[in-house]
Amino acid sequence: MLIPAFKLDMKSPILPGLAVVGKYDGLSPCLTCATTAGRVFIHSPHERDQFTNAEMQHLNINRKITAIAAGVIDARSTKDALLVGAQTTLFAYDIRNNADIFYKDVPDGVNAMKVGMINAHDQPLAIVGGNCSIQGFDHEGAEQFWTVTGDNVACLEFCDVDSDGRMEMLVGSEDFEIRIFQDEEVVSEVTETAAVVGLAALRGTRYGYALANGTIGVYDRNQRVWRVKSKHTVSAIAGFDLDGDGEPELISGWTQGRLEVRSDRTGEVIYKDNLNQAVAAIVKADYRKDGNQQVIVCGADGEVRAYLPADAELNGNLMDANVELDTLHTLTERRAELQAELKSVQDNMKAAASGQDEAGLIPTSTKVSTSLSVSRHDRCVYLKVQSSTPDARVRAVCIFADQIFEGESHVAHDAGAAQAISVQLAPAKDVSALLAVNALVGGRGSSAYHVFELSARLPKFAMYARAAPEDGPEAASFVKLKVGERMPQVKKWVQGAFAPDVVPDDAGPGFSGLHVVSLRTGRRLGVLFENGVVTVQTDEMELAGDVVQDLCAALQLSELESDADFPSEMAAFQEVLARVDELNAVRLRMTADMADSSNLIKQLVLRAEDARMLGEIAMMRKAYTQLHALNQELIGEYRKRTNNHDQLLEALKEVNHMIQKAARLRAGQAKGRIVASCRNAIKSNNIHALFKIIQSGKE
Amino acid sequence: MAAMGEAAPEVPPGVDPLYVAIVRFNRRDYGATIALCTQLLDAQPYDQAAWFLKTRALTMAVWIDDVEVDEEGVADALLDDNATASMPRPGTSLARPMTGAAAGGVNASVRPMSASGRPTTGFARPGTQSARPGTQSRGGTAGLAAAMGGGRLGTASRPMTSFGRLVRLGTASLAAAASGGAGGGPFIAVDRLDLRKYAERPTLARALFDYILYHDHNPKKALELAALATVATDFGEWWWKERLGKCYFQLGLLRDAEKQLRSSLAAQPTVLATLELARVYLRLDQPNAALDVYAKGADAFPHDVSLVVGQARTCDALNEGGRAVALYKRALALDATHVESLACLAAHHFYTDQPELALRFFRRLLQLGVSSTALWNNLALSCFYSAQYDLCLAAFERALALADDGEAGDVWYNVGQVAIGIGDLGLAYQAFKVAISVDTNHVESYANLGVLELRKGNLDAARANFQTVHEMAPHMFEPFFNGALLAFKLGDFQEAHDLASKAIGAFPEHHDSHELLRQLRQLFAHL
Repeated sequence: MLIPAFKLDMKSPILPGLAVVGKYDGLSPCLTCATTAGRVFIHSPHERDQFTNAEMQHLNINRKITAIAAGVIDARSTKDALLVGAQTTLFAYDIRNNADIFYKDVPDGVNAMKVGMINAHDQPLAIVGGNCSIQGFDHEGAEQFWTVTGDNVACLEFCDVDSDGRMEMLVGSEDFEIRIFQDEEVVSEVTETAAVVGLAALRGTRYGYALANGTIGVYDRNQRVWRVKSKHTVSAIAGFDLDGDGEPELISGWTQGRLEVRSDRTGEVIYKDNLNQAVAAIVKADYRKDGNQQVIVCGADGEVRAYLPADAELNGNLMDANVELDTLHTLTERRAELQAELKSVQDNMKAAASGQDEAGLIPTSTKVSTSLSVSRHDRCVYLKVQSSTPDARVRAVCIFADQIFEGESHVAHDAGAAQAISVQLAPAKDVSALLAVNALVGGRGSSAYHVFELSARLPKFAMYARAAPEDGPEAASFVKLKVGERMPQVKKWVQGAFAPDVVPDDAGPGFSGLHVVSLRTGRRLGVLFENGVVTVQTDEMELAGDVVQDLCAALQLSELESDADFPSEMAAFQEVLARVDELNAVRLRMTADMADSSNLIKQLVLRAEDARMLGEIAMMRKAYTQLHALNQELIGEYRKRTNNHDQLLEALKEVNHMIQKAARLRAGQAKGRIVASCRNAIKSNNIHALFKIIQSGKE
Repeated sequence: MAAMGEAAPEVPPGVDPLYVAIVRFNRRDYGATIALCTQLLDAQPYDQAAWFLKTRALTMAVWIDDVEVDEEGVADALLDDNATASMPRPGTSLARPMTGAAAGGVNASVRPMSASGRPTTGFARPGTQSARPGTQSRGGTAGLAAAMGGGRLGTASRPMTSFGRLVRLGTASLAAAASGGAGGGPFIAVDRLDLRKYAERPTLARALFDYILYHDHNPKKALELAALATVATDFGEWWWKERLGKCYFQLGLLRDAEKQLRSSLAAQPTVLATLELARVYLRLDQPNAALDVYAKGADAFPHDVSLVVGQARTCDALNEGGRAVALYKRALALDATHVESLACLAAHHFYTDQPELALRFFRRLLQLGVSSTALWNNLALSCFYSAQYDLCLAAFERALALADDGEAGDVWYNVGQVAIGIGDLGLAYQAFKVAISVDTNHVESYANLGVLELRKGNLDAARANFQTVHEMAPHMFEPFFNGALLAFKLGDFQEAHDLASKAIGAFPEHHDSHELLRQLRQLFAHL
């Protein structure tokens, strides 16, 4: 039985995910958490205040804190700096000297933050994940690293995923993806089923993840080892060796207060505990300075519990539950299951012996097959599950697949019990998925069924049907790639990536074209191959990027340049840039107005108080009336500002997204180069260059 | 501003009036310049040269060095939400300076403390006299009352807001009317200008900017112009960035100010921007960051006095006397006539028991042409303590002759001190009484009067005097200790304990108070 090493009550709420342990004098660990009202508290048990003897110190940030981190960012120093991220600012602070290290405007926001080394840079950086962007700042606040990612970054982690001895950066974002970055470049992606909310490096190539839908799991080299889904919401995960076997477990904290420790190999629960409040964060530190690392669990209301790794004598048995009883319980359950199974088999045998036909038996030759077909009319793909013999009816189908359905599975049944069941599939995104189909097949009117386990692959671009003449002309925008004379491979790719009835039309030697139309939007997509050049015709840059990336993967191209021409998207992009400028100008003006009013407010407060002290009630009332009016005005202004800020954020996100889309039209070095040069163009406000980079991939 | 409304000087025949105006401007005869330019503009309203010159003259006539006289307003200090740390380590914040021994400086028993709990400096500047009303130290309204009370009589109390000192609404409108053109309205109606148009003319824009900021005191409008002008110059002009920083600072947007000033410094290191950046950090209550900025600036401009003095002032504010003295000496090496450094060093030597050296510094000040009550008074004290009694009283006489009501109290108090020193308690008593009659808030006189009353055996009068001081000057430890001692002798142990604890609160290392408390605790234990 594992008991907490110590418990503390911080008497201040701790915001979810915003806790960190830093050694601000280089030696003593201090638990630092964001609390309400834009403040940060620092618990420093090893260094008390010399007058008040207080362990707690508060810092006023006066902004909504969105991320917090601590680490050595100046390689010459041994002291940790505290980094606090707010909606649009990043603040690095030297607690010991009460001095800023730097203060930086980060318009993209700070959603996640970590201090770490990026391979291409020989100094530690504060890595900041914002809306579609990842930035790295050195100890002077200079931007040393910048790249884009698909959506709002929710979490960051460092882990050597491909065991090449170099740490990769793992980025979990709201578009369900875990991207693995080697420097500026995405080396691999893992798609999950919900927004990624937590990542934790375990041992070697293993890392744990947590999703917004309550799933936690472990990946090893991008292969999922296990996962569990819960109806509760996970609030924090961390890797820590709690059972003392030398391998870190995945520790997860949940909003209803549960703390679970699961084995990294099997996902089996090896310890659990309950806090009386939601778990806000899990951190690791040698908090008692005795040489032993503890895992520290912070509750949302300020309760802090720390656990030491179990002693060897516990043999990894952390739970106090009686092992014999548990075993007995599982065995009893198993026996009941087996008895039920046996009974049904006996019943069947009896029925067969008595010669009744509706015994639920089906011909032994029955085969069940699946097929996919695209329906233009219903705007979806049909998965048809069919049995080969008329006596065997498909009664119900149960399909498991990631990202296709709202949950993970879908069940369809047919009361009439036909020979086949068709299931509508309409994935919202272009993903290729492996469908695990369980078909329940039984005889007519029988009450017992055979389960056929089948699998079917949904091609990535299944939601595209052959274009018909009424679909209008081909899209005007296109991207051209030189892939070399690889016509057979390209054709093979088309077979694998599109629905089976979509085939390219051959028009002469060395020329072939594929004309499809999206079932979601009704827009045309054309893929033409001509003398080693592939042209993707579509008005949607994102789709073009998807096609290019998929093609690259299929042809195993590691480097690819391309020429892009997307007049309509670029026109929209230009508007976005103009909007950013405009919003920025408005923001500047409103900030000045706001500052002016707040100066007035301060003056009025003092004037009113002065009048109160002098007993001049009439004057005081006047001042307070003015104050009230001014306050109302300020609140109104604030609403306007919020609105402006939201719009600005949205526009900036679109800008980052555009860069990402432009990068996805290329592969390899060209991809990284585009991100870097777009950033430079935006920094120097050179719109013309930016457009050129997006189009040609070169400066 | 006295030059406003002056009649235009005679322009000799055959001389271009604009030339005369320029000459007058260079001679800092702003009134004449303005009058000449007004004439020129009446004749030719679109004369850009005359417009420019008049704008410059109007600005220069009211220009003040806002970096030098900056003082945090009551409202800013009380409703302060800029400081990051609420309870930083002592010595890293202006709100919590180092305590005596730790700083290596002199302690409170030797050098009198200002109300903010740090030693008095040798040079009175905005903010050195009255305590910074902290939000944390004392609870809400008590702190407010203290802050509104202001400092010593005669020293101006703090302005409402830092910006408040710059704006005098009544006089501003009068000045505007006086400077006006033919119509009698203000010379430039900023609200009606198309700033976008001006932003594209670099020379006019700068003159206009300074006019808006220094003459109109309208940082909001100035900010608008500066923002437009930086855009027009493609964000490359350090001058505009520095001015943007100034506007943001005046508006209280310290973080924006920091950003602009840093960017200005990166483009072109200047002393002014360095001083302003340090000022931003001081306002953010990060003196160490400010010192860092000063030090970096001093590396780039090793011969600039203001950067060295800035460091010295910050060290003084942090109660690091030793460091400050070294810096003042460096400042003097750079500029031998630097009055502030001389005064501070003189005070340092005086309080470290070297009145002869202090005397030399004070005499140097006298040679530089400084002649004030404070200086003569200090000279007198230095003379007295260096045993030059003949000069002492003469100096006091000079001081009294120069003194106005605000300062006479201090001089009489010091006369009383000297009288105690020579054993003439009757004169001392008289002097303190006079000091109180001149300045009813002169707490030190009350304190000494209390002691004298005690010697005379007037216990109630002594107590009353001590109590007055306790209320008026909670930062002084002597009256608390004296009160405690009196209460102890009278057998009122509870009060003695209370007062001795307060004395320690004001001066944690006071040995006698600790001793008294120890005795009291023993007594309580016996009970």
